[in-house]
Amino acid sequence: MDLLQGIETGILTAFTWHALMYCFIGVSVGTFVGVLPGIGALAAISLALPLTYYLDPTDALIMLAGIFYGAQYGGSTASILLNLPGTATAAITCLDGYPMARQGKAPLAIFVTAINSFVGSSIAIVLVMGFAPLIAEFALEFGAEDYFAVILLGLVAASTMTLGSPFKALAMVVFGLALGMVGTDVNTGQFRFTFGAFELADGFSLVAVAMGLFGVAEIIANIGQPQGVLQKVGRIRFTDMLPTRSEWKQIAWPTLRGSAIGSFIGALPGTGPGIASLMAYATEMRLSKTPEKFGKGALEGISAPEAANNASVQAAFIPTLSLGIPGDAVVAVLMGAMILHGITPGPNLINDQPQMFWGLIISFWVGNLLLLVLNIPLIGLWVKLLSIPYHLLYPGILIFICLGVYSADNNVFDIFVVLGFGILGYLMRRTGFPATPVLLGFILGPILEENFRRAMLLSKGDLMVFFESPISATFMGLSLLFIASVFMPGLRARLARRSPKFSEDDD
Amino acid sequence: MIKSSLLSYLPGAVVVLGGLLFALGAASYPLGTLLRPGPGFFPMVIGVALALMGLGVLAETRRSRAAAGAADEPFAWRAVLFTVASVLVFAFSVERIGYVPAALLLIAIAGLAERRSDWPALLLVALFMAVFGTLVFIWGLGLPLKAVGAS
Amino acid sequence: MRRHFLKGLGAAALALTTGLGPSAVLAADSYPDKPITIVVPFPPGGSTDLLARKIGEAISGPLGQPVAVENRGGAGGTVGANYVAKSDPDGYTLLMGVTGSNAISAALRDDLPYSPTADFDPVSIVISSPLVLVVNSESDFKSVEDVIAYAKANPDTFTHGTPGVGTSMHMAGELFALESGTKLVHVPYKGSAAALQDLLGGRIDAMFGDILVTSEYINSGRLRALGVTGTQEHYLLKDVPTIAEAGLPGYAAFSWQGVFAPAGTPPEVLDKLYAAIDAALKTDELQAIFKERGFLVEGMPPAKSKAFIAAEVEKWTGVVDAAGLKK
Repeated sequence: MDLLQGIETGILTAFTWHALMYCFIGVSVGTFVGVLPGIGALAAISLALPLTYYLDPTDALIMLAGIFYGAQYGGSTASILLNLPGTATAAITCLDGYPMARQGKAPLAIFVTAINSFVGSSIAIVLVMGFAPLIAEFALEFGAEDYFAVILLGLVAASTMTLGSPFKALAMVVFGLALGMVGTDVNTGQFRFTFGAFELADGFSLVAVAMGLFGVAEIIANIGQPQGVLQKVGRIRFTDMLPTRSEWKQIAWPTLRGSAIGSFIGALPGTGPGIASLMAYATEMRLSKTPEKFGKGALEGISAPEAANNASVQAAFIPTLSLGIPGDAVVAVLMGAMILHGITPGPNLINDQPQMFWGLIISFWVGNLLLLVLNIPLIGLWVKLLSIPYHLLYPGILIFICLGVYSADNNVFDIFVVLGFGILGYLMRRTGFPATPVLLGFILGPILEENFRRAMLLSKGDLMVFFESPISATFMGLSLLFIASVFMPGLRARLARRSPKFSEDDD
Repeated sequence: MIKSSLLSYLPGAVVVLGGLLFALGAASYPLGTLLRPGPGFFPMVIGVALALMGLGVLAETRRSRAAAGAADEPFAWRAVLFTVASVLVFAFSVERIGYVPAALLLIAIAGLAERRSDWPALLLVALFMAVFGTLVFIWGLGLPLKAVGAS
Repeated sequence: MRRHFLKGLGAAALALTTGLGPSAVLAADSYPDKPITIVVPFPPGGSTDLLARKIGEAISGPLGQPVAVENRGGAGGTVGANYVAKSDPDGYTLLMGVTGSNAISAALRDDLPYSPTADFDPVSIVISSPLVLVVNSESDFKSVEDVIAYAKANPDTFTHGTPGVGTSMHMAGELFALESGTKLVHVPYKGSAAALQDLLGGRIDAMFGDILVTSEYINSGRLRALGVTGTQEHYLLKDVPTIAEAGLPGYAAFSWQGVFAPAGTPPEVLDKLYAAIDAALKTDELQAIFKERGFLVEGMPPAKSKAFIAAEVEKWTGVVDAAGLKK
């Protein structure tokens, strides 16, 4: 089936009244749960799963997928308004989104994330349409050594953004790596640093760490302050949201680069949107002429990661639909849904189920358009939240945080974890230790270790594998370049002017 | 003055200590070698690296001590205390007495974190959270909690 | 009158032996008079979750009470299993247990906070599913004998990927090595999709995989099935011999899932639950769903299930000890 024929099939499938309706329901539910901090797409999809038993499989998938990518749109809202990230991606959005909100630019920030989510998704969808099987085969070429090299590049990129206050920031990267070691060692099944708590066998929950370090710490720091967050929320006019002409220019390239990075990372199974946004953020900072603005409300700092995040979510469907290998945990549940409906994803899915494949892809377009239309009018409503005095807002936020972390495994243990990290986060703020590097180390560390050890296992302990594989060698080279760029004389002078990137949490 | 300058070294010292303790913990797992790393290998490297970074932080503190003497905001004892208490009470009670009473307790205790709380308005917040939380989390998202009563 | 008396006497004797008061026995008569919860020790969306939801739906009608499914994931199913092990043995909190949570983990870990044999009364082992030994179709391995011959000639070289230490796929591989007298390299992943990815990419030699998932790749010619781990051929993979037939006589390994109650649950309650499950398993709807999923319907009664669990724990303890995997 060629592309045009496929698109025709897809349009015929996705533009029936029922497909449109389920698409709408899916993206609406997705946006809604995405806004609730800590409640991920996973929870909502699992809940909706049994409801789809009686639907046509294609409709069911259109709806479930809609929840998934719809949640990415909503996810940045709580981060921007309240510094309350429910996912790794959202934590990156916090970096510049929350400062923007404090400067009274919340409408603009949310508008830009919505537009960029749309652009990022669209670019990735084009890739899925045109090249899914090709990209999936390419992804199969990635072995443990290649994953190691990609993640190492991410870690290096992330660490070199911490110039200015090097030791405190680097110490926090390493601290994050240490936190990532807690739990079951993948290679041997050994429990590490669990102190007999079985709840820690899967490690700390990312949601609990992120919401503790950012959200709870923010609350503690804000309580008792004369004016918590911004108060000058007046009437929101449409022009408050719209970027100016120079702002459009400012975000154009970051958005495109973010989409490219996101599509690439998303197509690799086992990585995920968090890593995509992180790498996009680090890249923009490296390329920017004004890196000192990052972390203080730089538009590029939200546009690149948001584009990357959504691109990666759409691209995660590439390995799933063309090979049957789920790109991340949420897509794995979607695969489970296909199996429920008697469709086993595998290498023949596109040929065997053209109607479903193309219908789903076209519904991505429909869904993303709906999301744009749905989200922009909501901006005013979300920003109104900030006009509620903080002393009334924070008890409610605390409840949201508790329920959000509880919902992951229905376990009270995670509430203690989020509280512990909240206190730690507050202490870190007071002593000038930045929180973001902790999260970076925490996300990247375990993947790095797992793939290094697997590479050693499969190569029988030959370190040269990292340079023999062309993919790995390329990324190793990029990492070296990144490091070199820090020490090269010309660049160094420029970098020396940088202000600390992660240490200005509290203005 | 002496006391406060000693205190300024505390964070770095804590990092060094944390790194050493982590390395000590790592030593209790099989280390393996670089080419065949065991479960203790990465944690050992990380522990040592953390301790080294801590030394770096100490050196930084020493260099910038004069400048770092900026007047800190007072430690928010009250905020920390009541936030912690409210969340702990919620965690211990939510599965035993149900979501709504636990949420009311949380709001009441968290409300004490502010010196002057607007109790009537907080009551409205409580009402809203009771209804919204029950609808969205228990009824909508199906958390295994009861609105009222043990789950 | 007399029969009632005898019944009372029996109840009293039972109460003495099980350490329960008469009220608990009386409660067994009216069981169930409130909603029942089946705990799934994994996040939603997987096959255990599906099974629990289907069984829950099916037994809810006959028992006359709603049956809710609760996901309490973590640590390969042991967090959820531990939760149920410590719950009241009244039949209102049940576990959808699996090979890992209710047999292998006991063999693997000294510090498991519960015992699969002492802390649970099985209601029924509901289904079992064999695995299939698959290799990349471009590899030189054409049969189980090829694999054994190669692994014997090249110890510590033949690699097999698994979704993690202590999974039934891992145990199937260890049992294979043990019974064939070979040394294989175990390559654990986080989840079976990642292992499958490396198998398709040709970076590992083989894996013991889920039949339904791998069947798509076998049919499309990307993977080659060398043998199923069950005691007979599987209906989804016609023409694939069992590993026992193909060169390793006596070999059998499969994963299973079952409904468990905390130890001390009144036998009447177990029987009532079992009757409902047994009836549900005989319905066309469940038969069809299980068939599609590649499951074999077992529906063992409580006593048989109990003996089965004991045998499984013993079997995997032997394998774990022989392979030196104990934590």
